[in-house]
Amino acid sequence: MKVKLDVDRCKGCYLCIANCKIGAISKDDKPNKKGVIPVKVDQEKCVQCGNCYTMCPDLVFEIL
Amino acid sequence: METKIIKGNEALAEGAVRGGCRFYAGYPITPQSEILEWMSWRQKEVGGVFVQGESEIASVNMVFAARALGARAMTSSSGPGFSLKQEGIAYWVSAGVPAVVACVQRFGIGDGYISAGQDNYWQAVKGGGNGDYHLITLAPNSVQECLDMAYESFELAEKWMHPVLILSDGTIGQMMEPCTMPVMKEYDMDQPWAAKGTAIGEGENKVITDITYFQDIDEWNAGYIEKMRKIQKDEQRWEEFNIDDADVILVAYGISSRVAQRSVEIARKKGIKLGLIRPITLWPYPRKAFEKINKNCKGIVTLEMNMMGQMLEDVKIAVSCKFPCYALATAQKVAPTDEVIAFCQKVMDGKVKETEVF
Amino acid sequence: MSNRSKKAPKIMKCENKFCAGCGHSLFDRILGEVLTEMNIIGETIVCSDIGCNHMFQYSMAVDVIVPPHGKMGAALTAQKRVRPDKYAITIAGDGGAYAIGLAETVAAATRNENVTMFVMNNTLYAMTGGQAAPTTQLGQISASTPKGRTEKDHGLDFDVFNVMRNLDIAYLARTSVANPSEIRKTKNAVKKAIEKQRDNKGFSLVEVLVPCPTNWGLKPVDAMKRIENELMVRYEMGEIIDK
Repeated sequence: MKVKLDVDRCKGCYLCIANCKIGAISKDDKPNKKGVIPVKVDQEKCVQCGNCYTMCPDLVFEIL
Repeated sequence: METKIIKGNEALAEGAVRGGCRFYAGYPITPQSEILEWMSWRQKEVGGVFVQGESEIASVNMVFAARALGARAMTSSSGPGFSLKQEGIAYWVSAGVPAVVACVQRFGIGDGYISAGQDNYWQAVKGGGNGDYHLITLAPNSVQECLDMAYESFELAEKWMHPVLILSDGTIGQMMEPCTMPVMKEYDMDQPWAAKGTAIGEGENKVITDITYFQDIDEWNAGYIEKMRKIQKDEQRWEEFNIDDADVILVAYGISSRVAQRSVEIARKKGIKLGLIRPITLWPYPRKAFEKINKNCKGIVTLEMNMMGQMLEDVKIAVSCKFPCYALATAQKVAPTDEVIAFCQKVMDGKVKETEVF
Repeated sequence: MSNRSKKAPKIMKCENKFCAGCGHSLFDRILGEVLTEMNIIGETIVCSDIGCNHMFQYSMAVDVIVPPHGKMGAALTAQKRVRPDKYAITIAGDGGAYAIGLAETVAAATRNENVTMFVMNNTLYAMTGGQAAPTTQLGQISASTPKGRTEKDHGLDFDVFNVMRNLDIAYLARTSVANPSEIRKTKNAVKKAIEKQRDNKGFSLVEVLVPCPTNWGLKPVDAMKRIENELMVRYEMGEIIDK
C-alpha cells in the first residue's frame, strides 16, 4: 500500500482528485459516516507524489 | 515604611507596582494621565513592561494578553476612554482573566466636561459591556486608599479569577496627601492557569477564552453564577459612622464621602443626628450595612457628583424601599458641607419630596 | 515508510470543523507542520482572531488566547513583551486584521513588534454569512454588496502591501493555497516569518489567499481556480520585504 486513507474524514471537496496528475484518485461508491461520497485511491497507479496529502484540508491521506 | 506626599493617581500606580503589576498599557486621558506617566518610568525600574497603546481599545486588549500569559497587568482610563474599554473588559470576565482596571471618573456625557465627577457609576457597577457581569469594584476616598486598593487588587482578582475595577474620581486622583508605601510584593507569573506554551505530550493545551465554547454551557453558567453569588456575599465592604441613632443617613463614596463624613461631624456638634454609610465596594454593594438602620430613621440621602443620583437605586434596593430615599446630586461640583447639612435638615423636617429614580 | 511519506503532525489533534474545501484548514495544517518541524509547539502561544479562522482552536493542540475580534496586533505586542522567549503568532481573518483591527495591525507593524501575523484573505466575512470585507474585490457579489462592489458605493478594496511596503518591518509576503506549488510557497513563507521572530528581526506578516467555497458559491475546485485566475492576477504575489 502506498497511501492510507481515513475516508470518514472526507468532506467531499475533491481537491485531491483535481490535483492528482496521474488520475489515481476517484470517487468511491458508497457514502462515509458523514454521508458524503469519499474518494478512493488506485494503489497501483499512485506514484506517491503527495499532492493529495498537500491539498486535503481534512487530513484524509497518509503517504506511507 | 517610607511615607511620601503624592497624588492619588500616582499612589494608585505605585500601589499596583508594589502589588506586583509588571505590565501596564494605557492611553492618555484627563484626569488619569498621571497613572500612565508614572507607569512609563516605574515599570522600567522594576523590570516590567509599559506600553502606550494606540487607543484604549488596544490597551485593554494588551492587558488581556499579558494577564492571560500570567503577568499581573492593568490599564486605566476615564470617562469616554473607560467606555472604549468595556468590550475588552467583558472578554476578561468571560475568560476568567484576573486583570485590573482603574477608572478615574470625570464629569459629563460623551466627551463631557473634564472636571471631577462621579458619573461612571452606572457603567461601572451595572455591567458596562455585554452580558451578565459585575466587576469587583473598589472605591478609594483618599490617596492612601488609592495605593492600598491597587496594592491589594491583583490578589482579590486572582482569588476569584475575576477582574477588579478601582473606581476613583478626578478629585481623589488629583489631590496630594501623605501616603505610606508598603513593601514590594513578589509574584511568579508562571501560574498554573497561565498560557506559557504546551508541548505535545505535556498535557492538555491551554485555551484562554470564553470557556462556553469548550464546556457545556449550562454547567459553565452554573459555576459562574455560583461564583458571582459568593462574591456578592463575601466581599461587601463599607465604613459606617453614627448610624445607630441617626435621623438621616448619608450614603456616599469617593470624594463625596469625605464631604459627607465632615458634614456628619459638624451636624453632630450642632445636635443634628446624621450618620454615614460609605460603600468601599460598589459591587458587591454593601447591602449588609443597611440592615442596621434604625426604624425611626427619617430618610437616606445619597451624595454623589452626577445629575441623576445614580447610586440611589442601589440604596433603594438595599433597604427594600422601606425608608424614603433622596439624592443630593451635585453634578460637577463637590458639595459644601453646609449645603449637605441643610438638605438633610429639610429631609428631617419632611420638606423634600422623595427623589425619583431615573 | 518511504522518503516520500507524509503524515499530518500530532498537533492536528482531531478533525476540524471547517466546511468542505475550506482554506483555513489547509493553512492550519501548514502551520502545524512548521511548528512541528521547528520543534516550537511548546514555545508558541497563538493569538486567535474571531471568525471562521478561530476554529483552529478545536483541532490544534497549541496554547491559545482569544481577545476580541481584530485585536491581535495589540495582544501579540503584549504577549511578546511579557514572554519574549515565546513565539507570538496569530491566525487572523482579513476582516479582523484589516477592518476592525486595522489600527492594531498597523500600530504593531509601525512599532516593528517582534511578532508574526498570518492573515487569511478570503475576500469576505465568512462566519457571518459572506458580507463584504475591505478585501472584497471590485465587482464581487457578497451578502452586503448584492449587486457587486463598486468604487462609487463601497470604495476601493484593501491591499496590505500598499499599506506596509515602506514600513521598517522584517517580512511581508503574499501566497495562496490554490495548488501544491502555492502551498509549498506558503509553508516556506510561514517558516521564514517565524524565523524572523526567532532571530529578533521584528514584525512579519504573511497574507494567504484562501478559498471560501461556501460563501463564494463555488465548488471547492472552482474556488481554487478563482484564486489562480483572479486573485493571484490582481494581487502582487511573493515576498516584498525580507530583512
